[in-house]
Amino acid sequence: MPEGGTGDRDILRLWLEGSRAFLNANVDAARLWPQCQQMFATWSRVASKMAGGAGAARAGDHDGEHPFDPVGWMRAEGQGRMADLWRWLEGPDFAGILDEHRRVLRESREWMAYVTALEQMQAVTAAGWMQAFRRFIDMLSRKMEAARDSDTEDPDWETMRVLWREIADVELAEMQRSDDYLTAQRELIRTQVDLRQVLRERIEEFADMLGLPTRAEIDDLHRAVDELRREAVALRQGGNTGRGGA
Amino acid sequence: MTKNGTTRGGETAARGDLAGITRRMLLLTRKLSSSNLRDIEIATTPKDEIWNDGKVKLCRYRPRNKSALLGPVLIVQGLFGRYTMTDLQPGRSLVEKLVAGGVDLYVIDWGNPTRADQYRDFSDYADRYLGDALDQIRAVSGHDRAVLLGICQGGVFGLCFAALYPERVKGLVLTVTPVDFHADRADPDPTHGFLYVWSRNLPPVLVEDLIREYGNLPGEMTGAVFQGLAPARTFSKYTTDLIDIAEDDDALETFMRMEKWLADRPDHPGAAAKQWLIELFHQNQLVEGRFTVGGRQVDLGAITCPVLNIYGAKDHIIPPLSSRALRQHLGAAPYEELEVPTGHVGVFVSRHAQRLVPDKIVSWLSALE
Repeated sequence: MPEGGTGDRDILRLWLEGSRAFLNANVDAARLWPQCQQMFATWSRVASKMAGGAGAARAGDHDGEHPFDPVGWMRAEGQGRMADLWRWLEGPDFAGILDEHRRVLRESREWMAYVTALEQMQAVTAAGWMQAFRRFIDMLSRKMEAARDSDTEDPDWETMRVLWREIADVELAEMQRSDDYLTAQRELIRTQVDLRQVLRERIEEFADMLGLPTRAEIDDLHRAVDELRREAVALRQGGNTGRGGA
Repeated sequence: MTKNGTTRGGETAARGDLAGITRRMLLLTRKLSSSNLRDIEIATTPKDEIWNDGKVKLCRYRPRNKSALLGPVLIVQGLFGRYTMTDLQPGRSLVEKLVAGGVDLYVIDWGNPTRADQYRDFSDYADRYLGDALDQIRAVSGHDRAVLLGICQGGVFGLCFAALYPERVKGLVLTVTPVDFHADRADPDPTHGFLYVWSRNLPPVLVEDLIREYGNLPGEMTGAVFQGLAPARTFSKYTTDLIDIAEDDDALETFMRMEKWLADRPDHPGAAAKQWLIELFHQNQLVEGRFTVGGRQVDLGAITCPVLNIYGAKDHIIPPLSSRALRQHLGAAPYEELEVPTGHVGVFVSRHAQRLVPDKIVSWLSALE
């Protein structure tokens, strides 16, 4: 396929060729992928022209980095630019096309985000404990040195324990107020909630398929009962909005 | 070890120390393996249920002496922990001492909320349930007004009720109660106020999403937060501190009772949790007069009854400044403070507090009569 053509006819032709190749049981897969790749390159060119350059490849783009570039699909490590893939997940849904794939990818993304946030939280916390331990060892070493110089007893168990508590309390307090910690804490809860949401949606789908009540339906029921209860209380109190008893 | 290579007091002392620790560890292992947390009973002071509304129950403690009763007093615990902490064990029980002091004492038990309770908010707890409970207390005791003894969040419930219905409250005893939710910023102690910092660290939209997904604020989650407020102390509590009390049966029993209480952490109803985290911790609406309960704004200046405000000087959960801020927001209500040199829970269970707090409450109640 020559570069610089008008594009639209080329796309149609490539699509037809690709479809034929796909439908032909004897197709050589090695021929199919280069054709797909050519189609993607042509499509990118057309899209770029139609969007006045807004859709042009960004500087530094390489083969396979774009989520629609089939070269990337063949890589073991997945797409070169994960962010583009995640953005694709957030795009509009098209009447069920690839919905399941997108959902599985979305669940994977939330799981990865949660694990990353958990590791980040553990790293920040571990750094705080290590800092406390380092200070404790420094301080203890100085105390033991001083004891040796003055020919007095080494610090005993109780002294060491009090020292550790004093140092650890201060160091961990500092760590727990740090921006790193607060960011990690916020991210951990955010990702936990997001992961839980996609898992719940998946489970609700199965529940719905099997005719079991979903959590959302039970919540609706609880809400309805709660509203009825409030109305009953208001009626009992003669429509008084305040509920401070009789 | 001295520079001569020997230990002062001889090496026997060092070996004895290590041997002592080892002995206590073995003893502790044996005691813990033979004890069963389920067998330990807390909140054993005799009481009778006099009313309930679903999971919410009102109980009256059996008076020791039917004449000369003080009160009536209603204990109002918050929704993060159970009221049982006020009656941890005989001899170390605020409830037991108040009953012995002649107080006609009641407690409202919020039960264990489930997802069915996720839409309960402050209007339910600080208005309707408290109002209904006081109706029952009036019927039983013959007194039109009662004293509310609020604990932590329960103190906020008490403040809201006393502001909305001043004619129904005879007095307010607040214990470890947050009032100004931004006062931690002025607290110089770096170990104070993490709960405030962390709560504000969650954007309101994240709080909304969290509650939407979980329905309620899970007890396991709030328990983990409380443990994380003082990680070094939590760590030593289950290690060195525990080894130290291995030979002290009384201390070990108290430890186990505290664990029993800590393990019984209910889920916090979702709607009320959103108000708590967003409207109070984030927006500080209570002291700004914008907090709404039962469709009415809570004006702390409208409280007319005497107030006794008890706080822990070493409270790392509710910083003293947050509690003491109440003084400047009350109107003409008589106000008194009691500082207890303990932490949050220590106000109720420490030996020091046991000598201080019940007597003070009884004498304060006597002055109300």
